[in-house]
Amino acid sequence: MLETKAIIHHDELAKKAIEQSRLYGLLATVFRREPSTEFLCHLRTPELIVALTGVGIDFGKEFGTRTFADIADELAIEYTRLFLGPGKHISPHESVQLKRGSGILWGPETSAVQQSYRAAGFEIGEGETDIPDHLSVELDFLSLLTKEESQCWTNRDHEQTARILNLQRAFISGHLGKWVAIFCTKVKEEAEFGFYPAFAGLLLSYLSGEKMEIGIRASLVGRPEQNGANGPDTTYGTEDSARRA
Amino acid sequence: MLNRRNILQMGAAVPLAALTGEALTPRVSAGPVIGGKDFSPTTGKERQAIPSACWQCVTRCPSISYVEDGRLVKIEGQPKSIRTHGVMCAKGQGGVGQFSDPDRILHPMRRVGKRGEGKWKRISWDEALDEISGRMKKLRDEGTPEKFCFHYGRMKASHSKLIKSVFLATYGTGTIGNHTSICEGAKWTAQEMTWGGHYDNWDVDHTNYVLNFGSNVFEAHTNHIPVAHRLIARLSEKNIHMVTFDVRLSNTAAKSSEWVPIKPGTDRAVVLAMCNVVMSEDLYKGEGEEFLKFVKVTAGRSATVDEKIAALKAHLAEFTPEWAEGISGVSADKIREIAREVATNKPACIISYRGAVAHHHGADTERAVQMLASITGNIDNPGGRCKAVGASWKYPKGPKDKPKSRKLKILDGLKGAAKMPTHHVSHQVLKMIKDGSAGRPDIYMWYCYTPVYANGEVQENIDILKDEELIPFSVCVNPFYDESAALADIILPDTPYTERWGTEDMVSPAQIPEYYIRQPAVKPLGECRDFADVCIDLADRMGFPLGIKSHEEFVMQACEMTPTVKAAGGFEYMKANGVYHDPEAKPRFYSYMNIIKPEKYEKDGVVLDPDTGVYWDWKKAHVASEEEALAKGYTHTKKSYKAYIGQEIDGVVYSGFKPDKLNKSGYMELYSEIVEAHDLSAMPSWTPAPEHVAMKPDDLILTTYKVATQIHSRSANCKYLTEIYHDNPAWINPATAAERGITEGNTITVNSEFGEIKTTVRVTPAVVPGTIAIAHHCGHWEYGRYASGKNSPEGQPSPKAEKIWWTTHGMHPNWIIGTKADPISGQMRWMDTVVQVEKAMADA
Repeated sequence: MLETKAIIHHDELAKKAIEQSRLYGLLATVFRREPSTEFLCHLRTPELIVALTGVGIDFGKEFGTRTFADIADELAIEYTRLFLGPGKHISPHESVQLKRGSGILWGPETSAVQQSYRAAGFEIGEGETDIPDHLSVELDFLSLLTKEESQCWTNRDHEQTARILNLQRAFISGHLGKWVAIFCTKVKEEAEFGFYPAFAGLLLSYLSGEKMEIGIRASLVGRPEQNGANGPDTTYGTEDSARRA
Repeated sequence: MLNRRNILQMGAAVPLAALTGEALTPRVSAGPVIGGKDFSPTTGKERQAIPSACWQCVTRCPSISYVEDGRLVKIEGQPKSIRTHGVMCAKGQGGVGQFSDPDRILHPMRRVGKRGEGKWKRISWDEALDEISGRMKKLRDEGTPEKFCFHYGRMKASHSKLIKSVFLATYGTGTIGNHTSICEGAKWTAQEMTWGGHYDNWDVDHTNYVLNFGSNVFEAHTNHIPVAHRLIARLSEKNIHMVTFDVRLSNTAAKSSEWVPIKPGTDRAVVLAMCNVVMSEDLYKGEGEEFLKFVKVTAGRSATVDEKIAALKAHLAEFTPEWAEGISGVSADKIREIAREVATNKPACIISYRGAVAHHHGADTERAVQMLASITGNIDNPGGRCKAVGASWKYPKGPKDKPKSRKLKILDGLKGAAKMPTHHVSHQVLKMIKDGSAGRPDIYMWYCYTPVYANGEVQENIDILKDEELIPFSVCVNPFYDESAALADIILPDTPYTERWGTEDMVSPAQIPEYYIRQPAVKPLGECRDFADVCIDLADRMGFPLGIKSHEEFVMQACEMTPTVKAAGGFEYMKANGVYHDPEAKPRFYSYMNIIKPEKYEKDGVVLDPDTGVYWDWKKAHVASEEEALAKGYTHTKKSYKAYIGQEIDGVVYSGFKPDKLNKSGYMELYSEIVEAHDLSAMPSWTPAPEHVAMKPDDLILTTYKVATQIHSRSANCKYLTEIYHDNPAWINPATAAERGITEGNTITVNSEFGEIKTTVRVTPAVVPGTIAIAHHCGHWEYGRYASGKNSPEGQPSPKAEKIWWTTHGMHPNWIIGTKADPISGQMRWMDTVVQVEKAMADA
């Protein structure tokens, strides 16, 4: 947990924000499409094994001695069954998942999500085929916002930092945070392999504390920084999320 | 994925005038908005209105799609349409559900388990099309393109032209199934036997009397709203009389002046008896007698009108009202009364549909209806039964060099199924594949069609589609995961009609052609692609480019090539307005009376066929010489109907009733030598269904019907519609129920020679005794959460669910209905199934 009374070096916050951005990006990739062999191979690099083990995810047993190609094939079927259908599946769209929402594809919630992107200055890419409220697009949005946040901390642009943090807070509380728990619970219930429940758990754990963390970061905007040997008195970012998990 | 955009630019894009209020419109409105505009109830902003066309049912009404924040939020009727006057049915408005169905397929899929196991993997379009085109190309290269069987349910106007006339024709397969035999094929065959080109428009705008045999026009029908809203107006504003014969008190029967209950499959007996009354009581005199000049009721063509009258009287003599009463259950007095009314209330419109024709010898029922309309002088006249008028679009033809198509003879049913299946017996295609005697396709692809669910004998359909020995490779083109898609090898995610282009041309009840187009309301969701575009892609991959870039371009070219549309402003006009008709055009009636100019039939290549009186262009019929043409004769020359010029009658050449699909003359052929040559009665007559003759005392006849809020097989995924109609208890008359100890709400078993179903019962006098009526639409076991309750985890079908409160999904009757065909036309006999009904054990 970030110590609000601590005086934080903004470069450190920038670094943490980049880490957050990467985490969001990783999760967006996981839920966007079926894993490639390259992606799985990357997950098994020593550095990532350590990082994932640190947050309680160990694919060693699940992957076993099978080839990445075989695993990718199995996970492609799992991904299709869980998130695409055809037929029974867990729609990864806010408008379908939201409790007391419209329950339809490209519902009013989707429009509201798209409005959030526009308000932040983003537009869906021309060739993009995922619908705006697809989980991976929402995660991408947060990845971009946190990347932007990092730049703002680096630039000491307090006004913009506050704005970006507000956008994150509003989006999580208004959108992603409202349905991701429902989604992740279903993933855990329906999955045959541990792969997606693991990432669903990571996502849920991370987001559950993020709203408060954003508040703390927002309180640091514009506060004087401390340099020197004592350094910033904080653990924050991916590691902290992992601890919460 | 997300691109940075210049916020300041967005700000700059806001017109200053809007900020200062200069853009505000005057506060005083000229009147209420009656269509063509819509506003967000939350923001008050005007929604984007995109003129388009429906595709829920085959009527394909012009529509307007309303888009708000990139989302299709509403569909309503197009007020500029002369066909609908802006009216749109529930099914059309509920079409938003096709767009927003949460169970839509958004990506190409390949099965990875056993066929039908339900195990899938997303694949890219490239993977999917490389595999399909590779297999198709191999067949083409080997000289067997016919082993690619394409089976469609609905494919009209530009879709049909681009997919069938350009793509499939250039590929070379003629193994192309349709689904007309499960609709109303018997009507079309009968019309081709009698007045040529099929489709009868009912000019209810000018009629004074409507006599209806088995059409539920207020709830369904192939030209549903365009006719229904006119008919309602005519009934309510002019108080005309309408009589409906039906086994069931449909909403059409209920809104008629009179419902005449009738035993299933006996309409023809009543119609023939009415013809008997008209002739025996000389009620044909006047318009009917005058029309006989254009009618053929004897062999040859030399009969005078008096001889024709005599021939009709002689043929009809046996079909007395008393005889018909014994068959139909309709009293002889009632038959006489209505026959007199229809003959004396002029003009009268005699209408018919599946309730009358989806039977054994259903085509003959339609011929009998044509006879009744003819002898009462109600053919192609204002207020009568008219030759259809529709838009005549011109289209690019694609590559010039098209191969002679080859086809597997699997389209016209099992041996002996039908003698004159001019619209095929496509509901037996799977049976034919199983039979194998005419060969089997290597690839079976279906589009806008659900062969498992839409046809009878469902279990057999499933077994055949699952069998990789019978069908080595199958492709389903569908935006939705229905019962048939579940059995495919590859699913190509088509766009729903809300996201595609198209021209449209459906028949205009105003008798003035209406041109209209379909435009996408939004860009296709996910990776969905209009199948017409996919065909262009497939052709490229197989090395025979069609010379067309996209379906949109095809539509654009059609707009520029069609003189009427081009004159109106072409593609741009159609995009802005959606619909066009010539405001100067007059309704078309009596088209058969047009006199052909001598230069049309006195030119080289045209000869008079002395037997029929037909002028025909033998060159167009690919005959080698005039001598050969005269020797062979018009009737016996293959496809000579395509070379028809006109009909000589009393020294004048009329356009007559132009033939189609059959080499008939230009007369209204109530007597048909072509039909006679197939060992059938030359004139309509009575032949009972063999199963009905053999019925035991406890047997019932199963009849089916459609409701106002669902189309036959492809709308149960639309939430609004299924929320309204999701259960179809069987209707049984109280007397029939009492005989079996059945009471309201009981569970019953219904058995036929094809199997057994269990369903619930509604005991109601709104169906005739001896009959059980079960609606279509329900009993899905796939097709997403709304249709089947086979829900995704987020949509639990329980009363606690927030979005799907209904827990029943009804029973599909097709499990126990045979795929038997009308032995004349091949029409599926939907309404002839003999069943045994009992209270189920649990309720006994």
